[in-house]
Amino acid sequence: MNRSMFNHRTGLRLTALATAIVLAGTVGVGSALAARPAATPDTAATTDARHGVGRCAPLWLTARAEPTVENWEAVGLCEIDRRLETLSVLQARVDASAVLTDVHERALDEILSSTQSGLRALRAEIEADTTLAELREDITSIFEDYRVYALVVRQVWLVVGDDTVDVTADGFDTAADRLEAAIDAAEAAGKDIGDARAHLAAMIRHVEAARDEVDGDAEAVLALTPADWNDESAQPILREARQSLADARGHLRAAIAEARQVLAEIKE
Amino acid sequence: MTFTQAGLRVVAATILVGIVLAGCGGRLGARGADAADSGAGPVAATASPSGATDGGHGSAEPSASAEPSASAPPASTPKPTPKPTPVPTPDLDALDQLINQLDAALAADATATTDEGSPQ
Repeated sequence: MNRSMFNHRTGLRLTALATAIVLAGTVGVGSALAARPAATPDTAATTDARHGVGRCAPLWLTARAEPTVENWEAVGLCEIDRRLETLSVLQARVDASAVLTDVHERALDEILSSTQSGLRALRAEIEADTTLAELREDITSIFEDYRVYALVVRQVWLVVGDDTVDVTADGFDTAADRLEAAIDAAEAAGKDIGDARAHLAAMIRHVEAARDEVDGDAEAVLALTPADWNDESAQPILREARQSLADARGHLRAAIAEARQVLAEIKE
Repeated sequence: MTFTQAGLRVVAATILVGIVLAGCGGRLGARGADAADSGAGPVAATASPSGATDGGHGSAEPSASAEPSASAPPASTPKPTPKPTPVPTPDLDALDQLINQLDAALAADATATTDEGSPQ
């Protein structure tokens, strides 16, 4: 009896210990997983098939073949649900962002929350629709009044991209100071610094060019509305913002190459 | 015979007292050297030959035992060579990662419009 109690207590202790180890491991893994979105950009919003245009395609085919209220309601609800899921992913991305300025984050929060609340209200309307005419109007509204993929998703990614350029450029400013100090130290030690100063100057020029490329783009992109997309005034602004971002990326890649050249020159 | 024994006792006692006093004198001399530089401890006492052998006189030369390094020849203490202050190099990999995030942003932007679909 006593021995079995002892064994029982020992067993309990061992079980508690094992549970603690498992819990500690779980917490550690959970923390690591929680930290991932901030460290790596989340492209799930647009690359995940669950949110893609193909998700509702079978319902569209069915509704066209058999145009009943139920079938078109299913189409409307599917289109709204995939947009709401995409918006949730975008909201999480914005919340986890380490690069967005406060002003840009607030602006994106406002766009995302107003789009979400509007789509939820529209969802309730679609559920209450009783005629095909009502459903046709509400389903068209999902596209034309919100432009989640054509506009909102792009607003988030372009603004995140622009702010990433600025943060990276700030990082290069610090790098420039350190590289200059390293060049000075190498020169003071009697080393041949070669073209290190020229490479540093080129790096700084590329960083400034990257800043100039995206200057003001985020504000222009954030000001766009679904109506701007519908009258096609948003498209050139989005195209230019995208091109500027791509060019800025090119300048930053060139800046990295110049920085590595500086280090190579002073180490030789 | 009795007188001789008494005399021997006196002589033996005198010798003993002399030995004891001589021993105390040596110890007092050593303590005197320590007392002159309590911080130096036994290293100071052994480092200064005069302090160890001079007995009571060790306490009369505190400066010699108090500053052993001053009296040591320069060649015996190697001078520490000043190391150059390391210059921190920039973390270019971190900047590279930030630039790679631009790839993701541009890729997401590129595919967004195709996900819009059309009510037509």
